[in-house]
Amino acid sequence: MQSLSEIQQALRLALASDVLYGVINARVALRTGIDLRNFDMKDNRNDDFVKKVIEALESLGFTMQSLQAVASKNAAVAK
Amino acid sequence: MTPDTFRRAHSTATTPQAVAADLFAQFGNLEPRALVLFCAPTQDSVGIAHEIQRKWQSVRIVGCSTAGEISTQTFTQGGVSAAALGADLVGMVVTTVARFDDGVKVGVARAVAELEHRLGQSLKTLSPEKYVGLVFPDSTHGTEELLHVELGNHAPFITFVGGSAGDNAKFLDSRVQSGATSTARGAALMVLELKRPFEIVKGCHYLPEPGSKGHLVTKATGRMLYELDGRPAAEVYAENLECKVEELSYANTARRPAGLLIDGQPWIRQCGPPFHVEGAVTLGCEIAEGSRLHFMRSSGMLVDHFKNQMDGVAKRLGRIEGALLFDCALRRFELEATGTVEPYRDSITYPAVGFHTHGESLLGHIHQTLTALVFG
Repeated sequence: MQSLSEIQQALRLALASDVLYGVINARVALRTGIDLRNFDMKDNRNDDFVKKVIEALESLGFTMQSLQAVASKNAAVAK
Repeated sequence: MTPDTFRRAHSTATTPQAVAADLFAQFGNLEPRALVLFCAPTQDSVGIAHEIQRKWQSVRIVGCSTAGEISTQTFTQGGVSAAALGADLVGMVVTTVARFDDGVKVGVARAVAELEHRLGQSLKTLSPEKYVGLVFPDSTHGTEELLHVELGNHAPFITFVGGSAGDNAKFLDSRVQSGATSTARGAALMVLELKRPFEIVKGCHYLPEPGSKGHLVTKATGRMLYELDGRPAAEVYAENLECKVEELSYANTARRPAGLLIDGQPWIRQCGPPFHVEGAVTLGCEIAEGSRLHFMRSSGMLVDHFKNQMDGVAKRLGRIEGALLFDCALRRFELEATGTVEPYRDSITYPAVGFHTHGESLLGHIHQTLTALVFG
């Protein structure tokens, strides 16, 4: 995943509820300074920010593989 | 028949036996599954726990020392507040102390392993709709941030809520305990299975100016904030607080606290002494480089914000059966400065127990906030 918006969308799909999404977002934001619910679009493809968020999510147990799988499945369903 | 849910008690007695007798009298005939115990630093909290365990061998106790004790319409310093959680409120309950003598990561891992062994399952698999954690870290070793990172890694979905143990704002010797085991370097943890609806509350009446972009944290290490927007942090603070760098103190930083904005909500990062060191600012809480720090203003009176927020919680839950309140000591100072301690205290009309903290816990370490676990 190469942008914050891709990660944001995949995480939303992976988490069943908005409440859980809020919890994980707060954990990530406290660790990285990046609020996936409210970031400046000029930072969307900032490699350093994307890397920080991916590292934080991986330490919370979210692999990029699993998030990408969820995103791909959703894209296939949408088609 | 009154359900066995939540009973609150408060004591200003000075011996463990007398305190325990006070608590038992107020708990009535409720036999608790869990007991949350907040003791002034001058109290013998281990002795009190021993007395409680002599009466109820199987009760799980968790708690810490305070910067002031809270219960329904009662604020004290030097006392004990305690909540008994009964079988109609609580199912499984496990508790332990995470000791940090070998480091936070190791201490949390050991504690989590113990909790999971007793629960019979991983914390990762617990439903956040039924399980909640309580956490009381010590406030004198600067370990709260890493504690929450490690807890989050072990249990990303359930929320641990609580506050840092106090010692009446001396920051020398705070204590946390599980059962009759106490430590000055670690965190007390409890995981509860709840049988009634509940809400986790975060209350803070500070918000940034509308449209505020905040200041970019360009250099920070641990709790030292070196630069904002590439400039010495102390200068940026002084400009925002309209004072000189040498005048930075609790008086002005508490009036306009700075913090993060996450999903529109304030997460305060307060300063502490020494407030400025060669252009840097000492925070009581780590902040990540790349964060945006916003200077905030009060959105109204603290007492009104608290009342409105708890009224909202009561509406959503139907009623407040009981509340555990973890209220920053800085909020009490604000109440004292504005002469509003009594209306705030008197607005707590429901069964409640809590303490004034040296920092609050909710997914991370925060300041100048109320965190709470409220049962419906």
